[in-house]
Amino acid sequence: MTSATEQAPKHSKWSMVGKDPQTIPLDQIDLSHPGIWHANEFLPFMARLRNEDPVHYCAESAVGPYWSITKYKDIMEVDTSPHIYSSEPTIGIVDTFEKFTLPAFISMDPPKHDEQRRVVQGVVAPANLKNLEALIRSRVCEILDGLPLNEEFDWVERVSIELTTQMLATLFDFPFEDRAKLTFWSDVATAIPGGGIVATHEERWQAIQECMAYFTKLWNARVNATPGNDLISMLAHGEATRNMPPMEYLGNVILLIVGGNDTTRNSISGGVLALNENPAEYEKLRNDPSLIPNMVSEIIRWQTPLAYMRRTAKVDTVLNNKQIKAGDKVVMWYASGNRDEEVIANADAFLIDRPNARQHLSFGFGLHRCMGNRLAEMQLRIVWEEIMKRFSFVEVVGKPERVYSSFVKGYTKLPVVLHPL
Amino acid sequence: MGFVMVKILFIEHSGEEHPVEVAPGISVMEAAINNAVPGIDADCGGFCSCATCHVFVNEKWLDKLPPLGPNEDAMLSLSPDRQDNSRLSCQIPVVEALDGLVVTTPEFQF
Repeated sequence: MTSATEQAPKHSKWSMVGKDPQTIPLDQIDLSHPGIWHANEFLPFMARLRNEDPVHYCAESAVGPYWSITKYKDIMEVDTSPHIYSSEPTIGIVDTFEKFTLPAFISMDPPKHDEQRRVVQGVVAPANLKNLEALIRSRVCEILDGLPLNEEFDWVERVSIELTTQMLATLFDFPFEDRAKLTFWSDVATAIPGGGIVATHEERWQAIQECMAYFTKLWNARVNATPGNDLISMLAHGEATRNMPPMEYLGNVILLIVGGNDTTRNSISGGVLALNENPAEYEKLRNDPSLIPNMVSEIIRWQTPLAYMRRTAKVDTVLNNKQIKAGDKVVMWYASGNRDEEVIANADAFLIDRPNARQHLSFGFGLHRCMGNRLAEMQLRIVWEEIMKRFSFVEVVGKPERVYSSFVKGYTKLPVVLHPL
Repeated sequence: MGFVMVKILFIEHSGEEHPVEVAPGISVMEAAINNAVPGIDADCGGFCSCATCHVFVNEKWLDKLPPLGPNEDAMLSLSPDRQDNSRLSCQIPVVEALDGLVVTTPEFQF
């Protein structure tokens, strides 16, 4: 375990917090350290790389050497060249130890990826979503109606986490009373030991084993029952997945938990923050709620709830004039591509009526493109439709606290006060 | 001698026609995107992973297409308005034998 982040993550020697993004030598820029993401200082570092060294090699970091890809078009090229840039062995920047590695189709190449993804994608098919819409809406209404007016509370805990966790419990047909476990496991799955959720790798592993035991119980119950429409039943009965080794089952379960939880959660919080930072856009929304579907895409671009995906070069190759060697880590910074002025005009602005708002990188491109994008968009749309029916202003009244991660780009706290219509 | 060009006619749900001429070697999806034909989104960039390049293929061309693959079949089943002549245009390579191909785009891709 060489990662310096484990010792004292917030005071790591690798952290770039407080450094001047304009004058720091290029070769010292390291986007992988969670410090600047936690402190919300990442934007100018990404902008500098886009302008001066769009395919950037970081030779030394807590996670070893890696390439940063920061331009929209270069990211598209990497994401759509799986024969050159592999998703194996993992899509996180840290090469994990065997004991801690969980195989899942997000970190597989074809043909195995295709076989496993096919099994579960039906759960987010439009027909299924249509059936889910009324249920999601009723749960959103119940959550929003239970919130206090004119009094400070944490939006992340009471709305973003609660809603996405309920949704996940529904998709898994997971015992509703135990649903808080899903949130915990989702946080644990992407947690950096010492970053606040767990203290050590061992503690993280222990939580993952509890998750495994719980889901094994559910598998055993579903595999002997009539096939249902929930994700566990689909995995237990799907031809490509029913004989998968336990670790692979767990890997896919965690993938679906994180994929369906952190991302939407942080976009729900991010939308509130974006509208508060851009009052003219909030006014546009009040005047014309039919902008909501377009705004949802803009929120997902602006927030970019997963900052990057990593690939590993399979062969020597050239990208934007840089020589990449077989075995090199290649990190596509979606959070940077989504701010690339060459493709997205006025990219740093949050504009709820932006033309072509769906043209963003947050869902990725190519064969690993987000499977649940339509579900995410629907959840966000319903949340905002129901918010606008109830509140004139969801006012942010304190500093948001951010996740200590360069991967999950989100919030741990967002203090708000609700103003009635 | 130049490249052989292949003619493809895209017809929008509204009935508006968009004839294009492209060289073989790309997909029907790319033929649409490269020529700014509306009605095809191709969110995933041609990897059979999003089902937003859905087209209805004119019946007389159906048997000239490569067979439906398992990924394409699974992705198409996500589409609420799937019909017997539904295909994902990213999975149809433009070849000379498809000169004159006619496809219609659905009302919505997502």
